[in-house]
Amino acid sequence: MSHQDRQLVEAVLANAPGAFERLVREHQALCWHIVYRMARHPEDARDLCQETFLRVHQHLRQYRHESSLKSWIGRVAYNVALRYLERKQLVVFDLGEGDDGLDPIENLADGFDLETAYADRDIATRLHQAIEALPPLQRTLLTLYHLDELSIDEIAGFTGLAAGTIKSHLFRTRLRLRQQLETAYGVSP
Amino acid sequence: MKHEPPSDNAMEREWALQERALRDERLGLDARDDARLQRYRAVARALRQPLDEALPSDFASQVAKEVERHTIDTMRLELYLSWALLSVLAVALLGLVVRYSRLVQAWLSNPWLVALAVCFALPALLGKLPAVNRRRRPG
Repeated sequence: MSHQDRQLVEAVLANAPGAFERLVREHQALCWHIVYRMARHPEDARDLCQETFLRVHQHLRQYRHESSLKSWIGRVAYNVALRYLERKQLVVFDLGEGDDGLDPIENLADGFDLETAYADRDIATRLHQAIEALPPLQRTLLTLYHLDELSIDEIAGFTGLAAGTIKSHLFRTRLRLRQQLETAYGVSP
Repeated sequence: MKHEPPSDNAMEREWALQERALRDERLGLDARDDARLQRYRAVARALRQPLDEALPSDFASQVAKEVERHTIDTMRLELYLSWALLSVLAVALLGLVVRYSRLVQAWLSNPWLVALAVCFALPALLGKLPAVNRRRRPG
């Protein structure tokens, strides 16, 4: 845990003016990425983010400085989002993934002029739609890894998943996105 | 669903390609000739786009106010509970006084017991006096 984290936590616990607001501001992006990617519903995600920080404030005395504050808050956000999905009875990850009987590596094809194709906005839109259509867990893992630039170990720290599981999800989901891109542009396997 | 990390050589190479695409996108490197790498770079670029929805700009201050309100509500509840508890204790004390009033009267009518009570109470009260005076003294 960094010295700044420790100072911030102590300031919040001492009810220093503006301390909690600063804590929220520093970690709200991570919280939003986790919760919004899991829940997908903007209004619900905002409420879940607020719930996350209310829990953080309520349980901050129990924070033992064993992990970084970011990881701890990330874990709270992830658990809040998981409970939301359970309440809504939504599937967290797609159990059917990779069960198509084909070796994904064998399905790859070349001869695709991506440089030209990516200039087309349609590519970005298709990829965006494909990302949005992913199951909540895969979508969240990809966002944390690519957008938040967290390491696999950091993600494992607050999702409670094994590093190998996360790596497997990242690998297969990126492969699937690539295949969808190729399929959309008529590249035969 | 398999949760094992990619193990065979083809998968390892594919993983390395995905990671290279991620790194190249982060560093903003020029495009290379490898078509598969370019496809992964397109994926990585899409994944690095900010989300289409964001939290309101005043989210942090709103949450801080909510926490403050919540804390005040909790404190108020604790105060009400404290008063309720004190009321119960007062009623219980009153009941005891009524129940044992004759016994108390009997004690008060005994001068030796009264003297003993004064002996305990007086030093305690006198001990408080200097502290009270010090607090009242200006500066």
